[in-house]
Amino acid sequence: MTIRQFLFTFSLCLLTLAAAAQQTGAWVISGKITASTNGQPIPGATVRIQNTKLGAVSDENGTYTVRVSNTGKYTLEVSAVGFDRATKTIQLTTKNTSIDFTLAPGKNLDEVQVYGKTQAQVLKEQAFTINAIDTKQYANTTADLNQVLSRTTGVRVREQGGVGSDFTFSINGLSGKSVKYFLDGVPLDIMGSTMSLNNIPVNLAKRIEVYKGVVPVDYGSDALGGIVNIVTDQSTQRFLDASYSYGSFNTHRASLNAQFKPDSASPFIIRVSSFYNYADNNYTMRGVEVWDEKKYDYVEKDFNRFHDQYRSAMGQIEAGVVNRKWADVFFVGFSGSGYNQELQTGIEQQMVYGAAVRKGHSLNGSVRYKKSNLFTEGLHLNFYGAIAADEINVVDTAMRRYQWDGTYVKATKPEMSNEPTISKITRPRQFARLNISYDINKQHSFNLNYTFDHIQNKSYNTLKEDRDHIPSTLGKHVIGIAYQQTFFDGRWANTFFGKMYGVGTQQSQVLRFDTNGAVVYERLKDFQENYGYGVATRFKITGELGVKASYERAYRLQEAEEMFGNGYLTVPNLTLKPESSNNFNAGFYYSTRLGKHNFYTEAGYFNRNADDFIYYVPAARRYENKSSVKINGFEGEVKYQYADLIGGSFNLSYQRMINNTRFTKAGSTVPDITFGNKVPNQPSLFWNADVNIGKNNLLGKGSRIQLNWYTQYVHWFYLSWEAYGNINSNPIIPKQLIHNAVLTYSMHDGTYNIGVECRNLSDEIAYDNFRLQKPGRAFAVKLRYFIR
Amino acid sequence: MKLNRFFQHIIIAPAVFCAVLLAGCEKEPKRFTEEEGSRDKKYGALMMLGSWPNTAYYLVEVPSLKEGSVGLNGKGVNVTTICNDQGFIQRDGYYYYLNSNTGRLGKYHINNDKLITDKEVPFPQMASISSHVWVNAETLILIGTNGTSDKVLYSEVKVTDLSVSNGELNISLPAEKEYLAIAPGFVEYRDGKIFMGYSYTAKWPALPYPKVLVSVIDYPSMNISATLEDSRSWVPGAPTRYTPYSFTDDRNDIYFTTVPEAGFDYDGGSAIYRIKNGTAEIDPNYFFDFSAALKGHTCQAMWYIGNGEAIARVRIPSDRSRPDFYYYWESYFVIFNVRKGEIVRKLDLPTDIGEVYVNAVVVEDNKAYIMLNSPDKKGHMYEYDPMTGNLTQGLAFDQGYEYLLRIDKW
Repeated sequence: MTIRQFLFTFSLCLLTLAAAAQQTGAWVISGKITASTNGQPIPGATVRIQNTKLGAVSDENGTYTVRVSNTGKYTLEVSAVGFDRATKTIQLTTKNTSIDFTLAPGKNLDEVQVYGKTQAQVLKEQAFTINAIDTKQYANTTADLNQVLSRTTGVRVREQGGVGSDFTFSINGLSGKSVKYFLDGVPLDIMGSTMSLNNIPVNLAKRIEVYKGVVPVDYGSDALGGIVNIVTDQSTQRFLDASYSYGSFNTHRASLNAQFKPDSASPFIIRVSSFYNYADNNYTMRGVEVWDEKKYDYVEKDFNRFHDQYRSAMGQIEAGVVNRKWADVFFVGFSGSGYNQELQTGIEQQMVYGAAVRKGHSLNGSVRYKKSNLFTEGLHLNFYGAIAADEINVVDTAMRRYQWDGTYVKATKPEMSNEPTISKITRPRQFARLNISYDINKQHSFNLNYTFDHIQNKSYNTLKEDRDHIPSTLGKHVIGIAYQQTFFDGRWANTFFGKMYGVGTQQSQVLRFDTNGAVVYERLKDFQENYGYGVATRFKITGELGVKASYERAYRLQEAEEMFGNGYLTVPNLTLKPESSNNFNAGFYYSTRLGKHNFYTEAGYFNRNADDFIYYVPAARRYENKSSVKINGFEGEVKYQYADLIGGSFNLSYQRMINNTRFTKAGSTVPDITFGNKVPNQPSLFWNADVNIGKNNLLGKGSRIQLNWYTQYVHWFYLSWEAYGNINSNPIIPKQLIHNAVLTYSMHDGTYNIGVECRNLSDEIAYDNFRLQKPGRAFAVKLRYFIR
Repeated sequence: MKLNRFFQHIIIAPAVFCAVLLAGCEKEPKRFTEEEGSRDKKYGALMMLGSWPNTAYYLVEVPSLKEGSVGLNGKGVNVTTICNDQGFIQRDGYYYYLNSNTGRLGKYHINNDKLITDKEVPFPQMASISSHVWVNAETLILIGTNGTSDKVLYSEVKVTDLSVSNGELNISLPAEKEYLAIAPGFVEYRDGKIFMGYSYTAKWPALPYPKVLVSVIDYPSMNISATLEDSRSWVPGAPTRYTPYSFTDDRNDIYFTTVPEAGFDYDGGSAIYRIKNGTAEIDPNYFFDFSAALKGHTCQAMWYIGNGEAIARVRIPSDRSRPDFYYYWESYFVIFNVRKGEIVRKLDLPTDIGEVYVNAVVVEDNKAYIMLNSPDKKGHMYEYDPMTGNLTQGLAFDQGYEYLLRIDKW
């Protein structure tokens, strides 16, 4: 498809939207369901229109929407476990009718749990393959988002160390730049390099969604392997969530999230999100080698890490209005963040650093606008725009070679690079996202998404230069169109989508030297288009059982430096192609409830056929499309909960990544011998188990005490190719079996909370990567105050 | 739904997962312990497998260069954890390597298909080793630079225990500001003197310093007694831990070649120079314009094979329109008469495709054995008999590698 054809299709879709907008829309009944006792919203309540098949389930804010096709008299019946049933009869005369319900508690409230479907479960029953995690269950733990996500199916986070350490995040085996991160649907890194899953506290998120392989157009991104979307609390109520924790290795974490309103009816809202992390990360490295001059040999000893302090902070304030005629939501926001990180090791623990530091800070301004039923029924608009500035500095000036006891000898080069460096990387960025959706009727809807992302990358060594003479520029335009349809009263749902990725890159390179010896630069420019597409389908066989499948032809676009190099050490490769993949998922879910027993299971198969991974090849001094892989795998999860007393879950992921690189060089006719072999240094089997036991009102009314036990297992794997060489000499990354336990106690219906936690209970030496030890046993205590 | 049916579900599902889990669990292998065994192997081959980023290096014991086959099927020691390229220094079966990541200089050998670490010592003296020369069987001189490559550093290593004494050679960058780095090249030791070629490199695409420079270093004082210069060619060699750029013949004359492309001059030609026995100057009566004799092709390495003859690896310059021209390496081997400065013959072997930084020749019993990377990834050793000029196919390398990177006589 050329861009012309694409634009034609795009225009056609817009016309269709406009035409459809003229048609009579559905009649909408909506409202909010709250508890009479405390005014709290009731999620998962069932709203049914009597004598019809129509109905809805209230969302996390207690709101519901039911669409009917005709005017008339309707009786709405609302039920929620633990509450008395309520009915209201209305005469429908306007297109939008608001009916709120206030439910009184049922007779046996103390023993009854609300069993409505959570938003996470509703998401999981969509056609896309999603991990949706309600973070409420982790709110009293010290977990950051990586730790929460690494307990979910198909996700593997390989960390290099403690708090704030570098990590690789993989979704069904695809990692690195294949995975993109979002905060409420906008790229996370717009808020700066501090905003990384390795330090965002769980309390910032209300829910986390992981889309695997097939990603809705709303995210407007070139995510080859999938995305992670952090969803914050979007309710319009007042709340305050403040927490502080202290733990081993002098780890402090604080988080404050709050929303203020003059009064409950006021449209004005001020929202604050913030966190602060500090850790010495001085955990013990066991059996590491240090040079003993007396013995004239390396000896193995235990040492505490001595140069791994990490500090990060983020603050965001948003102010705006909600529920106005002209806007459902209009917010202006400002955020700032920064971090300071001492670097302790290189890619393995024998590379010890004692002076190198990385730090960064960023500022961001944003505007958010959302309006439903704009101009006409069913037409919804959502806009986000931001400008951001991000700066990263890496200081590597110490001409020293450190070892684990903290001593050093003088060296003839700095710790990491070959020359003393204080690098400065700045990335001014402009971002805009426009999402328009139109519900033609209950069965059919369109969604159009346009994302513009412009980023300049300036990078230079401040000890040698005063600026980057050859900054690179990247401009991405991503247009996505999706068409959703449902049949059989919503049981069969399909989404068809297409995405156009336009990427403009620009970079200068050294062309020659003029007669005075000055450098003459040449500007390289490129614009490429790529077209992705996909489909997702789900069929609910019964209300409890559903099957689904999805497919996407996905891309990860080239970046400016990958194409054009950096003008000196990295040379251009104008033939570089984007990374691409055919991603396929199929699976089912099943949930059922019998009395107080709740059971949920889901399982799926996935296939990734990814080509042209871009790697920097040192021998070639440029980026090349070097490898292709095929991944086949399956994953599954079972959950069981008995009332609010006891429950547990178990999930397992297996993935087999095969080298699909037939030829290692262009023009070669002999297939690479490792073609078809299992790719080394990739975990293939991992599982997680979680058991919880708790009791309400044991230590006073409104209290809850709960113990959670988490176990994580990662099967060992080889560092190099299995089929070649003496297998005894092939290094392995050993198995990990890590247990964590958390005891939480809440009072006053969750207002005051205390959590005591032990991670890595059995004090295992844990490795995600070859020769890079992770922390041993650690304790933490967390205090949290939450009020809504 | 009946309660027992419900429990059937919640029992069966985890049971299925667990079954799968157990089936998928291969037992974690026990690692061997280091044990000495008999050492009857005579040669070692370094082979690389896989493509970036999953490359792995293997050292394979080779009983004979004349016959048989070796490969990586179940054999070969994975040495990826100690090295990240083929730049080993080898003598008598011991391999010496500076791992620039960990800053350790190590001494290793292979025994019964196992890697034995004889010694590792901290080695912060230089950012990387460029070149080396043996003063005697116990003494290795390592030459390298600091991180910014504006100082030339040396270490005298006693290889029995890797004890090291360090120093700096009195060489600095020239006054012309475009030259940013000093690049040591060939090194030869003769009668108390070390001859070290070097060049100054600039920021590409600027060309390297247009002269051959050779330091004459007194050993053991390591003082530079003279600096030899010649402007007919430039870049006298490159890091010698990959492949040699010089030799001393049976008359004790030193010959070295220039490799301009090692200094990012992709158009320059190679020339061979001589430093005659008993002198400390570039022989003014000797200049072998190697590239002129071979259609502009350049010398990439050379090995003396006796009787005044040497083998050279000759690179066919790649098509400059190729985006990968600077590392697309097609080469072949020639025999040249070192004293006359004449090409004797081009060896009738397949074109070597893939890599030129290969220690590819072993000379033994007046014969030369040449390791060849062939495009079909079924490489061989070829025996060359200088007396008859005959070439015989010898040891075969089984398919199952990406590159052959070293052949060393232990």
